Amino acid sequence: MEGSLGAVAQFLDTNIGLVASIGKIALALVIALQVAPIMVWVERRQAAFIQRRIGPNRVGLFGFRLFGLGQPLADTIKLLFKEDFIPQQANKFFYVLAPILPAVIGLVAIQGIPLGKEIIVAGHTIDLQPVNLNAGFLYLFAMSALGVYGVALAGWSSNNKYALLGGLRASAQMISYEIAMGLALLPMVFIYGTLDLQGMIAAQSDSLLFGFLPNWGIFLSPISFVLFVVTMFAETNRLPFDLAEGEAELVAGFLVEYGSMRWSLFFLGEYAMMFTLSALTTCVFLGGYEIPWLPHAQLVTLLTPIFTAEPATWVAAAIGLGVLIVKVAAFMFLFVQARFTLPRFRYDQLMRVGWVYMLPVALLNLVVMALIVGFLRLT
Amino acid sequence: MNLSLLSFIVMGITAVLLSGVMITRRWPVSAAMVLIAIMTLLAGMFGLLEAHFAAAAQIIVYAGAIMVVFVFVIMLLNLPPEELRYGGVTVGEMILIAVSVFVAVGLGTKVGQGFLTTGLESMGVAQGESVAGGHHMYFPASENVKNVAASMFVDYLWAFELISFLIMAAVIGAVVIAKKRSAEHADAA
Amino acid sequence: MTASINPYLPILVAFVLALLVAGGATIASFLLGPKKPNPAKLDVYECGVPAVGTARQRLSVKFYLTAILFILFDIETVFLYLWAVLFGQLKWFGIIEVALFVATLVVGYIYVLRRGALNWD
Repeated sequence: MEGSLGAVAQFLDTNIGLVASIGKIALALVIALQVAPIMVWVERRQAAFIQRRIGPNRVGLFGFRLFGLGQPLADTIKLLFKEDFIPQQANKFFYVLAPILPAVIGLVAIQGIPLGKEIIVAGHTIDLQPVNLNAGFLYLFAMSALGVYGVALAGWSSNNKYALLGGLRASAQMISYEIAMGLALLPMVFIYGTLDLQGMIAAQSDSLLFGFLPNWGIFLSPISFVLFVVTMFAETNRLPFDLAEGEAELVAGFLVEYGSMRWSLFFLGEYAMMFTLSALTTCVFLGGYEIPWLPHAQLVTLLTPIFTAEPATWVAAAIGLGVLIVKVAAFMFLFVQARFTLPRFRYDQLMRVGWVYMLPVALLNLVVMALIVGFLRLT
Repeated sequence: MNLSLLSFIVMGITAVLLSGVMITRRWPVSAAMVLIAIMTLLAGMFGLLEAHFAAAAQIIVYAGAIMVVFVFVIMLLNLPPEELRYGGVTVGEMILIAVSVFVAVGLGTKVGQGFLTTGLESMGVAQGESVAGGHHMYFPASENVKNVAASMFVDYLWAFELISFLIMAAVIGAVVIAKKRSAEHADAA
Repeated sequence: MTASINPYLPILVAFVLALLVAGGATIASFLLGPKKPNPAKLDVYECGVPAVGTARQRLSVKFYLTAILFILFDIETVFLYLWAVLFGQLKWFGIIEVALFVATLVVGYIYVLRRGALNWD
């Protein structure tokens, strides 16, 4: 018995990189899969509060209602048991493939987010970013660029006029705002001098701005932050940019021929992408998993007397993950609040905002920031 | 066997097989989708070779932007496969096929030889002087995005500036063509 | 094997896992749901009335123009990212270089704007 345990320990020790990497991926996947059901419930409850209703509060588990938190589970089960049919005019293969694409892209994209600084296990330091690329920033852009195809394919393969128009509109909208998104984040890259998200977070926590503010991106380049948040709404097809789904004119856009689990896969992808982009904003503008005024290294030093050296890093990582989720939750709240507060754009207005307002403002912001950073650092 | 090398070989073989699938599709949309998959695989292969910028650019520019135009055009025209029937191989096309096969075999043997001799060591341990050009800046392999940047903004300064004119010409060209077509359309309607 | 593995391998692992999740959900729903098709249900949805024409029609060239302009500005953005990572080393030389690059593109942008190519009418 002891021998086999020793063998397991030996295997873990030699393959720590591989095992840790699979563990991190699994953690990020679990988080991503929880986001969609919980957000559906949050969205319904929050909508109810805004509209002075009660919202879903009935479903409970084992007699405990807990504000209806059983609702997501009930919804998932319901969706699984719905009839799953393929409309006869549809292109079968692509009709089935289309919902899988956004779900896979959403679940893969979330892996680029640093969930924490690092933990130390049995002498090995493990970085808590599942996909730890040096150009991690570009990875997230690449994933978000691929997001167009799920929507476009869904619209095309349904072989329905509303769906096709909705799909094309959604794709055109996503690509139009992608440029403003890229340009909005550019100043952050030269302010921090890196494409690595861990490096960006470190740059934000190592000093204070004017002696009292956390050195967060939002204070360094506020216009970039505003531009990025707006493009984030457009990239995830959320109201006020949800023209693709516009019930009044396109019934449900690219989703019109979809039902049951396929339909919910689109939302799994959408919520995973919302989480990813919110987490990206958090990492670039709001210090990521770091508690303001208390850098990770200091936190570990504070915790070490209580929990001894290695477990202190684990506790610090857990606190960091909690902080990240709180910050992301604030954005999720904003998403829902905007959805039930703002009216929808008209399509020509939407394209106009993207190309005629956002793009020049982003370019101007880039030039001004380059000059400011140039004068501050290079002279 | 090295895990990176194994994935590299599997991805390479898949990409080649998929390109066969691509050119035999009847529906243009299917062909375009397979092409996107091939480009994503290529990005992964660049990544495994530690070419971070090439990997990202492959997806952002090729799979994420250029293929969007392909897909849009195909979806906008909506030609059914019957209208895209192929009329058989002409003599000119046969010559082209022969030349392509010749070039492919030549390139394949040359690259294959190089890969077998140097590729095995270079996978995963690809640190070397090969990336450093004539400029004075050099960064380690993990930060080789900066090497690409240095060679672009220092060594190929003029080419970079000329690209802006190329892009401007393309922007104007696209607008002229699209505007002319839509004006003709308005007259006809 | 050491603690550091090729950073692209986790993407591959994540891709396979994500595919299993999404594919699994699709297959589970296919197996668990009832199967009661009827012609009306399988028909194309058009707000309850019989469908008029097909969806395979030609659409506005505007979408094409948007996509082309997107490629061009996207390439520009990717180039600018390369400059941004080397901002500190290239110093004012880089800023001037990029200013010229962007200025040329702004000329193209103003042309597009003047021709009204960005208006959806």
